Amino acid sequence: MEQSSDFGVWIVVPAYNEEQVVHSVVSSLLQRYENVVVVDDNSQDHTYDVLTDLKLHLLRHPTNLGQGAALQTGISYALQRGASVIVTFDSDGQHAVGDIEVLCRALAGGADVALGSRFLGATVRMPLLRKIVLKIAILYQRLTSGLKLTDAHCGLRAMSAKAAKSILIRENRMAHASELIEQFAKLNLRIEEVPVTITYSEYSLVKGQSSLNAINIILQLLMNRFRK
Amino acid sequence: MTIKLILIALFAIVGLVALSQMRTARILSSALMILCALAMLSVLFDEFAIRVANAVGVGRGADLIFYLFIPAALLTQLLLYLNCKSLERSITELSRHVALANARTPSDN
Repeated sequence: MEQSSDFGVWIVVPAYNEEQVVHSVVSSLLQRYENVVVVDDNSQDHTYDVLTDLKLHLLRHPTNLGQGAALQTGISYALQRGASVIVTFDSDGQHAVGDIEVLCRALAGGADVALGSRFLGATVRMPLLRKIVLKIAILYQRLTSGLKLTDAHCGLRAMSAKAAKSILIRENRMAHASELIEQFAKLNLRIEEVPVTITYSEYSLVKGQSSLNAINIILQLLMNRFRK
Repeated sequence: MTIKLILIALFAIVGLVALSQMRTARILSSALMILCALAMLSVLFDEFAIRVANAVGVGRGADLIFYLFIPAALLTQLLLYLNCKSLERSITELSRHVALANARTPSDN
């Protein structure tokens, strides 16, 4: 079927102010995959311009909305173009291109959603504070979604078109990772965790979110719960 | 007595502004106009506020107004927050639409 070939696989890369690394990240994706969508979330630097020489699908939000919104825009675009598998991949160089194949294999094996897990896999140079915050996030996830996951906020994940069509990311900012998992859980989709490697470079640590932001995320999720 | 004049003038202005917005926000405008009317009444007849305050177990009329002001302010904030959220959602949809419509595909290179 199409799922096992790379043709129906679409890689969605949300990017915000990543002019330094985004070109090399996307280039390495394009070496293996034909369909790469980058959603530039209205970067203030040259993220959009440095990518225009590559053969990719390039979208730009007219205003900054957040990573969750960028992901949803990329997913909607890929679905419009007939994607059968959608992979989300961070633009800061933390993820390994080789892991995508492992995620896709999990989908081919019958899962609707394959989530990357750095705790099943490996991490390179993960700071202790980050580790503690992530562990707390995982605990929160367990309590709210009832899913026993080993990693809660890994940006590397794959989903079938069916799963992608049935979700809608409404958390524009960083709370979207938990929101996604909650939606997957509610829809009773088959979720599988796959070991992946996350590399913490000096660049990604400076660029990535601060661990303190976890407090923010929990507040946002609670607010939303209250609103529903 | 000057304060009475100042307060009545200010409440009258707020009431008029509320009246001018009657078409766009009927419920909010009506509520605000009723509030202004009550406020003007309690400025003119201070025994009115005192009597109401005593009836609900508060000593002074001014205290009663202050206490009522707190939940009112919180409610306003909540409504404003919800309004912002729905505005944010519209902007998101709009931006997404623009981004999708102007996508650059590999064949554009």
